[in-house]
Amino acid sequence: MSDVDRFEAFVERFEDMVFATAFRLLGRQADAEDVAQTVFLRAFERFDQIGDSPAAAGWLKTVTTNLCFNHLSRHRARWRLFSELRRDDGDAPEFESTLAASAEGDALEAAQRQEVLVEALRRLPDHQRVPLVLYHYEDRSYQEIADLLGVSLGKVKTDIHRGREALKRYIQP
Amino acid sequence: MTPEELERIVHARLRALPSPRAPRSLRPAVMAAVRARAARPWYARPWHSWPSRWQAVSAVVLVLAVVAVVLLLPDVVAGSGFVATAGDRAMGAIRVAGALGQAAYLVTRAVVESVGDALTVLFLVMLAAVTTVAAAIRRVALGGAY
Repeated sequence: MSDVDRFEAFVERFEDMVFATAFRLLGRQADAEDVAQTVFLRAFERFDQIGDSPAAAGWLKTVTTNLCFNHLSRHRARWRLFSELRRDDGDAPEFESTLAASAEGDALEAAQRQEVLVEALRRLPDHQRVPLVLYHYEDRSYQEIADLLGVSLGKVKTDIHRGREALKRYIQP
Repeated sequence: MTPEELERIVHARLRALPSPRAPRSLRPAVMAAVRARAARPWYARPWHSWPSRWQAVSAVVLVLAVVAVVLLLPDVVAGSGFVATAGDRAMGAIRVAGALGQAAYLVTRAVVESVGDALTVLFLVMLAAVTTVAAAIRRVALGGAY
């Protein structure tokens, strides 16, 4: 089996994990796909070191997280502008009312509820979604998140709490 | 609902969500890029992916080059006068300026005495024009290197 064939098996094994990590952090599929591709190209350059290593998953998660941070900081200004435009054209309120109406319906299927929650998480502002994802999915402590993001511990706690409050209406039984 | 309860419920609901699956287009895109990279010769790839022996050879060559520069550069500089001191440069410029001034004075005096005011003015205007054009050519064509 050639290196390329071995690497394809490696990609098949980890692609969902890498993509899921990027998608949760970035909230956008196209961006998550770009980041995932970059992660695997870096992995290929070091494949002789990480290919059979039990630390491969951790390495991939770390690189994915760092690339997502880079992506978010690089596009922060553009994203802020885009968010403002979106608020201006009334897209967000429409989404809010749709979600609220859906979440309150008794006949809603579990899958639909999950979709609603995924969408609500995806729509959180970056500064709430990123620490929330790191806390609940990556099992990072508040202090670790503060260090990773270069913000104060208080801001991390506040942003995560506000993110949870924003999700609360979509997770009521 | 207390913040602790909210944290616990949010955690449970988020962890219960199905994990997003990679789109089908991801692996073909990655493998196409990987195959394109794999087709490149080793020296066109990033250094850390070079064969170990070539990494070692390149590291040795780099160290030797640095050592050679550190050891030989002072001798080269001293032997060729490649780098002049600021004082040397200033003295050279003063000497050149003095010689040019003296030559200009002698030419001007000779012209004034022999030809007259009109030709003197014409000569000075032409001299100024030529000097300006020469300076402009030096700056534009030679990048101010001389």
